[in-house]
Order: sequence, then structure tokens, then C-alpha cells
Amino acid sequence: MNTKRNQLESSDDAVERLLSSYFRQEMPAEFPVLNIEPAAPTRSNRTSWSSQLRNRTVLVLSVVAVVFASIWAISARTMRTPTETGFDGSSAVKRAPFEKK
Amino acid sequence: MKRGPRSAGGRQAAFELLYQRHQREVWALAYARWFDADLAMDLTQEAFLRLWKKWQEGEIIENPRAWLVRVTRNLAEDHGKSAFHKNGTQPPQWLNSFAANGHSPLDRLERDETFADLRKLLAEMPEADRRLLTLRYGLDYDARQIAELLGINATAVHMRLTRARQRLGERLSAVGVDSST
Repeated sequence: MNTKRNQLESSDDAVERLLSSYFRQEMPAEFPVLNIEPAAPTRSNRTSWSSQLRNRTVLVLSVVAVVFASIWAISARTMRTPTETGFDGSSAVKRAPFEKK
Repeated sequence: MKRGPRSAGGRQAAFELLYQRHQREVWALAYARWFDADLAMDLTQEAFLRLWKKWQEGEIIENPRAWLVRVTRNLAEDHGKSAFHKNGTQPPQWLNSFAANGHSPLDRLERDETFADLRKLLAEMPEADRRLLTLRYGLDYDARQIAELLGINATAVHMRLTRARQRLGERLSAVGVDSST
């Protein structure tokens, strides 16, 4: 029984040696370098970043301009209240409707 | 969640490290399918280039090693269906840059005969056995490493390897190959 086991073990060892030898031969000694290059940052990416900044700046300036214009318009209207004096300084005379001069 | 390196230089360095670390594993898995060293090299490069392409597109791959294992298996299967030839991503000149191991023909003559018989017998074995044998003897991986790579049980790997060797030994004897040479 021991003899049979020894034979099996030696056979198994021989198969292992053969397999190691076979795969050692098949395995490439060295692998080629892969020719990869990082994709350069595209022009569109750069311009999109700068154009986003520009767009936002224009938007903020526009909002500020609209706010200032609104404030100016409101204050101008409140300052120019209608008076009873004409443009040439003549005063208006109050008359009753349909009253004859 | 793991994310790929964001800068282009960092991404390239990480990819090259990954290629160095896993190229032999990927090659072994491809080889185990067809027992063709040159084809395995083509498939290895294709798998890594696909991974690079994914990274370039900004895709997040949490486990690149597992991704490579899966893609390599699929590519090897695709080769059988000739789909690989239609869907390869790189030009042919990239694929043929591998030089076979150099021994003089005279030196190799005797061993080549034995290896040719062995290759034929290996090719007839179940694919799972071929994969285990390639990882065990091509990469010198132990059962635990193989189990980790393939996501299976280490004990099962050990048992399956033992049986595969026994079957192979019997077949080698049956065809008159002396495995001790």
C-alpha cells in the first residue's frame, strides 16, 4: 500500500514538474508597454470653464444694473410730483366745470 | 466608494501600476481559454486598453482587477465567436508586439513534442480545471490566491487541482508521455 502511495505521489510530483516547466515556457518573459497617453484637456473644457465665469459675471452685472435702474426710476418718479404751476411759471386757475370765463 | 485618479498624469501612473500588477494574471486567464500564448497577449492588451478607455471616459470602476478578470473571460469567449476580430479597439500593429520566448529550435525539439501532447490534453480538460492549472503553474499561485482571484472557495480549488493533476497524469500515461521528462 505504501509502495502504491509512493508511486502516486511521485507521479503527481512528475506531473507538477511537467506543468511548471510547460507553463514557464509559455508565460511571456516580458510584456509590451501599452501605448496609452492621457487625453489632453480639451479646448472645449477650458473654454466652457471660462465662458461659464464670463456668463455668470455678465448675469450678476445685469442684475445689479436692473436693480439700480429700478431704484433710480422709482426715486425720479417720486421727486417729480405734479404741481399746479405750468412749465412757464403761470399758475392755473381753478374753475368749476362748464363755468364761463 | 473608490474613484479613479482625477488628473490625467495620476490616472496614467495608476493605470501603468495596474498593468504591471495584473498583466500576468490577465494573460493566464486568457491563455487558459485557448492555450495560445500570442492570442492571450492580444486579449490581455485588449482588456487593459478597454479599462483605460473606461477611465478616460470618467467611468468609475470600483474593482479593476475583478473588472479585468470578467472582461478577459468575455473577450476570450468572444474570440471563439469571432466577435473579437470585429470589435477590437486597437489597430493590429499594437497586437503583434509580443515576441515569443526564445529557445533555439534544436533545444526545444524534444520538449516541444511532450509539450504539444500536454497542450492537447490540457485543451481537452474542463475550462475551470484549465484555469486553475494555469494560475497554479503559470503564476505559482497557491490555492488561496487562486480562490481570491476567481472568487471561489480555497478548499475547492485545492481539491480540484489535485483531481485535475491525477486525471492529467492518467491521460499522459495513456498516450505514452513520460511526465518525468
